Amino acid sequence: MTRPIYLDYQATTPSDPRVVEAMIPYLTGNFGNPHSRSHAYGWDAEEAVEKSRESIAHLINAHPKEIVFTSGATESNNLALKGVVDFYGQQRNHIITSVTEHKCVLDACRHLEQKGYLVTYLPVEKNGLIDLDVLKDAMTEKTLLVSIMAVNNEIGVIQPLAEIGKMCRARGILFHTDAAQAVGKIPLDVEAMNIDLMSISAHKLYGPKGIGALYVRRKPRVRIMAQINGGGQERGMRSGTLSPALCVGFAEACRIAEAEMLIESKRLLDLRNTFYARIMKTIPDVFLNGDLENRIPGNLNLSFAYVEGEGMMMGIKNLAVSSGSACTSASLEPSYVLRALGVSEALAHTSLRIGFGRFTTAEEMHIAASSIIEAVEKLRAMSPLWEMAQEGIDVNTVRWAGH
Amino acid sequence: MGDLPIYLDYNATAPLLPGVLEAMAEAMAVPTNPSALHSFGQQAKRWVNQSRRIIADTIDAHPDHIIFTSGGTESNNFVLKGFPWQNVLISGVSHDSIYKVLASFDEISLDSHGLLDLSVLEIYLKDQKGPTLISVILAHNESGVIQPLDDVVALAKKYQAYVHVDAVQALGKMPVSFKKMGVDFMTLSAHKIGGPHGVGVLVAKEIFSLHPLIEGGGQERGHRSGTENVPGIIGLGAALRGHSFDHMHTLKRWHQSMEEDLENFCSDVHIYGKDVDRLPNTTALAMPFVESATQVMHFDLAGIAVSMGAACSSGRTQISRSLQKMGSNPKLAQCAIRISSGWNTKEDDLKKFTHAWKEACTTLKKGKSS
Amino acid sequence: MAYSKEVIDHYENPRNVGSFGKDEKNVGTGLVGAPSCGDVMKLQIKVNEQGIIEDAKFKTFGCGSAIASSSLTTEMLKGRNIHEALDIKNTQIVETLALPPVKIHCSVLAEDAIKAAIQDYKEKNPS
Repeated sequence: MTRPIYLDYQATTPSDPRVVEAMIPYLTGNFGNPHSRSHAYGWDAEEAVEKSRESIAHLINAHPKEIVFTSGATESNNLALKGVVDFYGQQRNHIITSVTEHKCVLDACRHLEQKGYLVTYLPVEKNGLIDLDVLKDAMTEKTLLVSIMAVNNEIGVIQPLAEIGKMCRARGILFHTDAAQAVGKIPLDVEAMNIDLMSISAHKLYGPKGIGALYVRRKPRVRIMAQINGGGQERGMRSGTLSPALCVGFAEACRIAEAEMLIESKRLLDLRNTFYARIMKTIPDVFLNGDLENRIPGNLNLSFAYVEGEGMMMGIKNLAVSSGSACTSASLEPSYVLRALGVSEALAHTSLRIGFGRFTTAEEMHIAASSIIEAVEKLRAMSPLWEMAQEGIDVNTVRWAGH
Repeated sequence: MGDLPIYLDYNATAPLLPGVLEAMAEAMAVPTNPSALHSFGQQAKRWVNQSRRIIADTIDAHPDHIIFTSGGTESNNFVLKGFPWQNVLISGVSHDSIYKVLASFDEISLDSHGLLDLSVLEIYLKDQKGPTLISVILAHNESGVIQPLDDVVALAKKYQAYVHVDAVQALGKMPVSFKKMGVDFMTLSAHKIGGPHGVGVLVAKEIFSLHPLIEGGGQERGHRSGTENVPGIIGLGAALRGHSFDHMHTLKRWHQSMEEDLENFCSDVHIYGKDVDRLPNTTALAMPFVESATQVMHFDLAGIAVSMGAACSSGRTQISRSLQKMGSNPKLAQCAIRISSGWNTKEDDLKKFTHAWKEACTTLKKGKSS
Repeated sequence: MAYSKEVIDHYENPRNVGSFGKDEKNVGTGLVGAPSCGDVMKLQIKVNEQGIIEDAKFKTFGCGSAIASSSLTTEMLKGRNIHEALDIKNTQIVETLALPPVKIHCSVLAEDAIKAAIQDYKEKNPS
């Protein structure tokens, strides 16, 4: 069986072959522990790690010393939120975040609420973006930290980071952004955007799994309390042996992303727009979730009314996409992100996230569009909801028994 | 790096075992997120669970008790911080990722061989109030000394305390059975046995009593969030599969004859844990009157990579805490180095070390001992 | 998500997709589930004068298992009399389709749909 066409680049990306190639020497000859100070194996490993920091920092206009390696963005987000609160929590006790953040930010916030801190969960507009006036109103003298993601993992919308950063800086509030979906895809500048802490994941930008970073501002200095202690690596902010191979792979991924961002963004935008236009022209009752303008180039999130997402995925087995419907996990709840946009539960069950990436070709995009069109037509023909809609019945006015 | 020096620092990290990189390579080239429902995701999930079974089989544990982490340090932190322990009992030979985690704990003293003083342990256990955790490093990273775990577990059972064993250095060098040991928690690391960096394991019988250290997407059945390091996890499985104990028996013989040779050459050499059970691949030894740093430099020039103790102490070149706490003379630790061998060590490597050590002893000690 | 051969077969070659006129006297219609829960099944039976289900049709909004459960149900219904039809239990559907635990609700929905269709038929044809 041939492999399906991969259109789930927001879930993870394969490592770029150039990344793997850069890693190989550190998995074979230069295998030292970068914290070994007594021999050349260790020194070479350490040098590789420090050089890696530079490429990563450069991509976001930071200083290499502001990069703290972690095991991934989930750990970075946990470290940023808990680490800041553990350090400054005595002085200020209020955190602002948004309802569409990644689950790890929301879970870390719940954890902090249980410890007695106050958390404001900002709503989002219909387009998925936060309202800056609502943010402003939520800020108080007790606000310690604002944590707003750069790019949403499901709907790809880009939050107004520079504006948020400016508002935070003016009030002496720390600004953390989960940029796992943004780094390497859109230009980010921690200076221009006044970002104090930024979570980065390598495997979302064609780097290896098992590594990420937290950017921690040095001027003015931001302090965090380590959440994993021990050998005191990463200047005491995160202990544990670093992997030179993973650091080097992460750095190479950043270097490639920086060098190719402009051209690649344009290519992806073309792919996406062609795909989107074809779908919208061919099938009625398809709705885009999230803003189209303020969106990373490779992402689409579409609701195909009257066709359930998981059933749809079975009909497009030649495509690897993700469904906004969470039916296979134990819960039957549809995506909380889509619900936060005001998308009805019924419509949320019909959504697909389609992610184009570095290795998606125009041909694959067209095959994907054709497959989706075909599946939607087939499934609508057997959908009682579609039938009702054709008869002029408004599905929303029907009283459903539920089960 | 040019001509590669002889590597005798396996306890810091080991080179990848043959076959590990090949096993990881396939997974590195494809998108692997085990939470995804499509075939790429499902393949990733199969890979992860396959490794989980290999690990469970190797250490005689239930696959459901295996939690993948980013490494030994995270696993150790997880156990210590994941539960509101009333008392935590650890020893001075514990790794920094145990020793430097909690603001308060009780330290169990060591006898002159570096073994936990069981009578002291019992005094603390008698005194405990509320849930108590004893954390034991099964095999010490610097000296290789193996702790009397069975006795510790027996005492723990008697006083209803929980036992965590840090088996990072022990795995692959001595038999490690979670079930037979009867402990509650166990820490493992991939890169010490010839697997990749960035992967560790916490084995936990009392899995549901621990609060996750890293929260979020609910991977690892809710115990450890974050997209799984699939290639790394595969690498750990491959390393365990490719590992052989046979070479350990050979290493033991080589280390023994090397130690005898050195003792015969220089009567005041001190070998840590000489008279007790030790890992087959580890020798920590002090050359009196010659500082560790001086020795290390000498070996570096001779093309041999050794260490002055734990490698995890980033940025510092201090005297080893744990060696200071072992043995009768704490000052000797200033003159100690560690050599640790592994799967790719040849007999000749240790012979070259022996030769270089003797040379150092002759030239460096000159004029210092009198 | 690994689907059984049976589920895939019913999904790819669904039996008896379609509709009868729901106002016809000899047709019973069951509409169960809710769009907000992610499954809606419409099951229709056509009953002859002897009380035998001559034909059955379905339309389903839902995952592959829901579609397969409805498709299988229409096959099971054909040829039974309406009293026997009530004997069809969701566990038979689970077994035949080898549904995993997270998909058992699909079979429950199918059983509910049978009951609803027969109820509707009986209301139209009081004996």
